[in-house]
Amino acid sequence: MAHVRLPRMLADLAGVDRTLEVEATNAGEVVSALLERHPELRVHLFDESGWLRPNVLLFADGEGIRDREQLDRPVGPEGEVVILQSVAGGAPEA
Amino acid sequence: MEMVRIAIGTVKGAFFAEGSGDRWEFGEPAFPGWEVTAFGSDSDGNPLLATGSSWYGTSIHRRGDDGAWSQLPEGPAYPEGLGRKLNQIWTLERFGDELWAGVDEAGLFKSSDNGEKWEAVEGLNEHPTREHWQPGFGGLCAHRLLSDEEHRRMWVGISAVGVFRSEDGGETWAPFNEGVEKAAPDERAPDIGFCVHGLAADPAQPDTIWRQDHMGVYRTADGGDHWERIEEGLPATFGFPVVRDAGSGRIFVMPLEGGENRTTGGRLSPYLSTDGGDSWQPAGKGLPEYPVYTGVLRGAMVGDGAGTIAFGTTAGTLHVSEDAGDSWFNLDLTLPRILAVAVETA
Repeated sequence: MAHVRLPRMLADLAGVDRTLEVEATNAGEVVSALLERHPELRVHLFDESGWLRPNVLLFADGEGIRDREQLDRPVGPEGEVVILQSVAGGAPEA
Repeated sequence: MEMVRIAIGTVKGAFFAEGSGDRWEFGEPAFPGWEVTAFGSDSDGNPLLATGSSWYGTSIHRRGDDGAWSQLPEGPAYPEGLGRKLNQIWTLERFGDELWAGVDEAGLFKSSDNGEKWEAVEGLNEHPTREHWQPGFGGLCAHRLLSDEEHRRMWVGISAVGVFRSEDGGETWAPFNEGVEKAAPDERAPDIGFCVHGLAADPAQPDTIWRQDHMGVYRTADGGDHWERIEEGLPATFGFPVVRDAGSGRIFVMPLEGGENRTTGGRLSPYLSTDGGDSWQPAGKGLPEYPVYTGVLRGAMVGDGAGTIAFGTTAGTLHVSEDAGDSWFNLDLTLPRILAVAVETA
């Protein structure tokens, strides 16, 4: 199982823990599995360009994903996709 | 006194107060971290609110009977590839069984199924003048919406474009701003360029509309065909909201000095008119006596139509009158910058 870690604002909005387990082998599958389970998050992650909002960051096993082509990056059996918001303010847990 | 419920939308969440006079209780905040930009209700009377975020975009949420908020499955959205972004939802209105939303980038959306699906109002959103629409500093936004349902007439205010009117329930629209001073003159588009900030109507006489613009305060008696300045007694003609209390017939504005300063002379005071806008006077007693330099934004002053007027400031303070502006209470709280206020009397 891979893990996906959500920023607090989105986890609270969806009413879920910040870390979820999903069946996936690459970053794109992790995101798809997340959105299948919580479709309300799509509008918060993606904008009218069809890609990530400018201030949303995506990391797969510690490496940043900058464009769609990188969504096929493999995620290990215990790997993790982390969704972050770009840094602002002073919160220790974004 | 009757119990008053107030919902306050700020740049960092929604807050709720309930009470009367100088006795208020505050509920649990909701949507921490989200900008809460508008309040409304659905066809069943369930509360709605709109959220926005520099990180995560906009959405609409409905409060169920259990008190929990849930996101509407598909809110207003511009399609991929149009090159237009939906930055904020600035107004939520219910007209009959239809829900309407006014948004930034400027446009209208409506839902005929109680918020499940939303469709773009193409007659406005793709108006032939659109290529010349210019934003104000607050964005290019459709923010105020009025409806005369009996005659299928509607009015929308767009900054810094002007007031558009529809005669067919929102299918087609045309600008109506004769008599109003322009804020963004463009010779290629003489019918637009007006920076309207607020609109208020008299439902009993829907052709009478009051209008707070960047460039002054106006009234029309013919549905927008002609506008006239109504500024006698105002210390400044700039401001954002205009509110009409149906019970008393009083009109309220909040004069501000402009971008350089806010409240006029450091005095936090709405002005009211008892003669339909012909003249204005400071509204009542009880507001802070100490210097206050803050502002009141477009959606941050509202009334329930029965004498309760509430307004919130950009400094996060909230002020309520339950007697149509004769006296005011300053609630004991300080919130983030206030964007929107809704009020109902229980």
